[in-house]
Amino acid sequence: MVRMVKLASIVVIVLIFIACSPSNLILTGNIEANTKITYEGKFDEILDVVAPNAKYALLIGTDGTAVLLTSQSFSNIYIQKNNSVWDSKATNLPAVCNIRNLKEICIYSRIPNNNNNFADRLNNFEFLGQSSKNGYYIRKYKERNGDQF
Amino acid sequence: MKIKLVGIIMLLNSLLFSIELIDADRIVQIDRAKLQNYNKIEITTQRNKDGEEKNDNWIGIKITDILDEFKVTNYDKLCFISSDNYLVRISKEDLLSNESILALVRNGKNLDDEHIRLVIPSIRDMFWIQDISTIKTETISDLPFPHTIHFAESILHQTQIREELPPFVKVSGYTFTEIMSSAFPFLKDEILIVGKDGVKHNLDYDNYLKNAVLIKRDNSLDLRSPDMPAGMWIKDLAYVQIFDVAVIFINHFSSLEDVRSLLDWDNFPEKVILHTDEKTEKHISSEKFNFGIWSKARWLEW
Repeated sequence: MVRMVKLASIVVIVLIFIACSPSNLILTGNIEANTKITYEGKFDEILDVVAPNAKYALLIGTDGTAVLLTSQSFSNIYIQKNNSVWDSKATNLPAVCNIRNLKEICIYSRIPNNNNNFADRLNNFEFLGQSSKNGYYIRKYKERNGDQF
Repeated sequence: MKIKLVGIIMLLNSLLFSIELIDADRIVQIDRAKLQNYNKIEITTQRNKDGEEKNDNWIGIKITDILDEFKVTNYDKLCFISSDNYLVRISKEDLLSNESILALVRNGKNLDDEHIRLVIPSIRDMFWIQDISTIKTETISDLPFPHTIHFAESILHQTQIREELPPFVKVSGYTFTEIMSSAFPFLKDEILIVGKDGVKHNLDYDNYLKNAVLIKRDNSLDLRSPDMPAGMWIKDLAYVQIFDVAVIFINHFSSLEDVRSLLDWDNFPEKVILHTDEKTEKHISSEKFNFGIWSKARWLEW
């Protein structure tokens, strides 16, 4: 009986540990399913490994704010993890590219791995405008769901 | 009785009239009574309409006076939309450097609400929109220089021509969506449409282009949409751009230099990478479209 309680306690502790540990950042779009970002770094270098033919990336925050970037901008974005949340940092791009608490990055790949899920996902967003800085253009969106919009 | 009814309808119409001024998150309604309170200026215009010289005298309100009252300063363009969805965009420079007015009187006669119109003497009268329902500020600057250009002809060759394109009759061609979805990763939001004659519209896909068709006329395609007033249809469609991807109709151009001239591009790459079905090659960007591999190219990038 004592042994059973000990075992259950260990299982609970392990589950709590897993729940509290920083999760990976999900990549969606027309790329291989279940692709994730697991480490910090320059966005272009990360994508070279996980989605090498990426042409567009839609960075999506948990508050529904999203930014559409072309591949020319990828080297100007740094993906970093603060405590348990993922952020994007950029100094050479419009300020809106600094998104706190990313929940997902949706990728459009030149060589698709499945149907155009990128276009489907983008259709969930309302276009807010376009801006540029240092010759880099971005489009700003807001997710259309419930009270987020 | 009939006269009374018409009078009531006119009175109601007049009460219902207002122009919506949208500046970022702020929306202001400007009704006719409000318009009458502004200072008026008088301007004269000379234009050639259907081969006839037309001289008009206008009395109206300076657009900048309206903007000043509501402290509207942070914009690059003003977008004017009419009740029937006609749309024109006027740059801040044009508004500030010209006598741009909202005309209330023409040649001594008061204009009906639906004939109140934008008048800018130095700009072609196709931009003098009337029956204005909305004036919207836009801070969006120009489009990015396209990084990828598709040749429309290679898409058209692979697409079955349609003999029916409702609601248009006795025409043949393609739907806008079936041609463009082959080139663009997404069809959404603002799309730049340019005709061979340089007429440009920056249009929202859902509102204007979702049901658009490309109608074949000799070696050219005209863009029409049931969601656009006929005055906005594009004759001899030459160029379409979404974000950093473009489609060109090469029969209207002899080389990329012509495209550059039509689009007013400042920068231009010296070399481009051409893609055909069989190979990919780097070429000088100023070469003619009928030269070597160019005639077989499906798309290019740099």
